[in-house]
Amino acid sequence: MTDTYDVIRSVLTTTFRIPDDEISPERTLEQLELDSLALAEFALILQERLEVRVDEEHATRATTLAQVTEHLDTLRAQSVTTP
Amino acid sequence: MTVRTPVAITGLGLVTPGGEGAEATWEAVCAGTGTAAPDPLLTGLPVDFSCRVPLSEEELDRRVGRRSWRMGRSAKLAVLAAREAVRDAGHRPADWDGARVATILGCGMGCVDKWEEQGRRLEERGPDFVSPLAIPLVLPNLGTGEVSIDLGARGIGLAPATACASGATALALARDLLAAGLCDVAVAGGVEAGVSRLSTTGFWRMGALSERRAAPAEASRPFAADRDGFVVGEGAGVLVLERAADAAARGKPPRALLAGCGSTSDAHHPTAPSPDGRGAEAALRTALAEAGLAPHDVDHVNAHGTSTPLNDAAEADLIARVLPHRPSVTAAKGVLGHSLGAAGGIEAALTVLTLQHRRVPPVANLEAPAPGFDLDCVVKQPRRQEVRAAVSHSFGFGGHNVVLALTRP
Repeated sequence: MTDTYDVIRSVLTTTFRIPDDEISPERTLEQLELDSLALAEFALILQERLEVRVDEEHATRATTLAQVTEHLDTLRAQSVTTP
Repeated sequence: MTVRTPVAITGLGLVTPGGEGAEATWEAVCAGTGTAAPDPLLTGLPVDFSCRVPLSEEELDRRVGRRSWRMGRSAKLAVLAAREAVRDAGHRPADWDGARVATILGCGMGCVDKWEEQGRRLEERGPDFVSPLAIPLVLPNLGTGEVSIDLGARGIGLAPATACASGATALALARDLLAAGLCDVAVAGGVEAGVSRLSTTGFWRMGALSERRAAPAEASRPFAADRDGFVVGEGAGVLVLERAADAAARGKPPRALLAGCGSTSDAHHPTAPSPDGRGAEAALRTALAEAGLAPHDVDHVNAHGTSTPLNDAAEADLIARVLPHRPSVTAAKGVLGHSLGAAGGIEAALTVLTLQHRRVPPVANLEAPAPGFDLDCVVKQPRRQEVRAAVSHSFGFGGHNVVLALTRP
C-alpha cells in the first residue's frame, strides 16, 4: 500500500478545489473537469510531490484515478529499486 | 467641443487594501488611516512594505471557486469585484444577452510575482518544472478574460494598458463603446496585483517609492511637504456602465453619471510628467467640455495624488491653475497605496460614493498641503459636502493623462 491515491486526492481537493465527494477511483480526469491545461499542471504537481514523472499517455482525460494511481505506484517502485 | 450624452453608473465593486467590497473600502478610506505594512514577499529588499488586499490566497480561492487554480491574483480580484458590481447593478448574468455585454478592465502589469517564480524554476530546476500556467498568469488581459467567462459576457473584451491610468482609460473606452452602440452593458474598471520582489525593486530604482520603512502606514502622504514616493498596492475597482435610457427603462436609478472623459498624451517623456502640464490640462478641459461643465462647476477633485514629489507638484499646479476656485481635494492613495492599473477604477468608484453620500474622505497622513500648493485638501476627517460635479484624475507612465468627469444624476 502506498499513499499515492491520498496524494492525488489531496491535490484535487486543495489545488483544483474539487469537492471530496466527487472524487473516487473509477472517475476519469475528464469527469472531474480537468482540461488539457489542468492535466499539465496536475502532472507537474504530482511530479513535485512524488518525485516521479508521469507519462502523458498515463494521464489523459480518459484516465481514471485508479489508473493514474497504478501508474504512479509502478514508477515509484522502480525509482526505489533502481536508484 | 460638443457636449456628450452621459452614461449611467449603475453598479460598483471594489476589492482593495481597505477591504473586500465597496462598503468596506469606503469606510477604510473615510477613516483615513494608511494600510501599508511590512510585506513578507519583500523581506530583505530596500523597500519591504506594500498595501495588500487583506485576503489570503486560500480565502480568495474559496470565494472565486473551482476555476481559481488557473488564475493569477489579479484575475481573482477582478472576478470578485466584477461579481459585486454586476450584483449591485441588479443584473443577472443568467438572464442577460451576454453578446451585448463588454468587459473592459485596465491592467498595467499582470502577475509578475508568478512570472518571477517561474523564471527561478526554469533556471534552478529546468524547463520541465515550469508551470503550464506561466503564460496565463502573466498576461495582463486575463483579468478581463476570466471576468468575461465568469459572467458569460461575450461582447467586446479589452485590457487597456496605460500604466497607472489603465483603469480610467477602461472607463473612458467603455463610455465610447456604449455611445457607439457597440454594447449595451459595460463591466469596466481596473485591476492589478503587481507587487513582486522585482517590480518593487524596479520602482525603487526609479526613485518612485517611499522609503519610510520605520512607519509604513505613514509612508503614503499625497500633497505633504515631506512626501517621498508612492507605496505599491493592489486591488480591483469595477463599475457597471450602461446608457442612461437603458437604466431608466429597467427602472434602475444610477448611482452617478459618467458625464465626460478626457484622454491625452504628453508626448514628452516615458516616466516624468511634462513640466508645462499641458497634456494633463487638456485632458481635464476636455472632460469638462464633454460634460457641459465650466471649471467653476467642479465641486471636488479625486486626485491621482501618488505621494511622489513630481506627480503631486505637477497635479497641485494643474488644479490651482485650471480650478482656481479651490474645490475640495482628496487622494485615496494615502490610505490604499498605489494600485497601478487598478487605481483609476477604484478612484472612479470612490468618486461615485462621494457624489452619493455627500462626503469627501480625508487624505491620509496629511496635516496640510505642502507650502506652495494652493489646494483645499480634506484632512484628518471626512468632510460633508454637496458635491454635484467631480473629476477623477489618472496619470500614467508613458505620458498618459485621463480625466473623468462625474455628476449626480
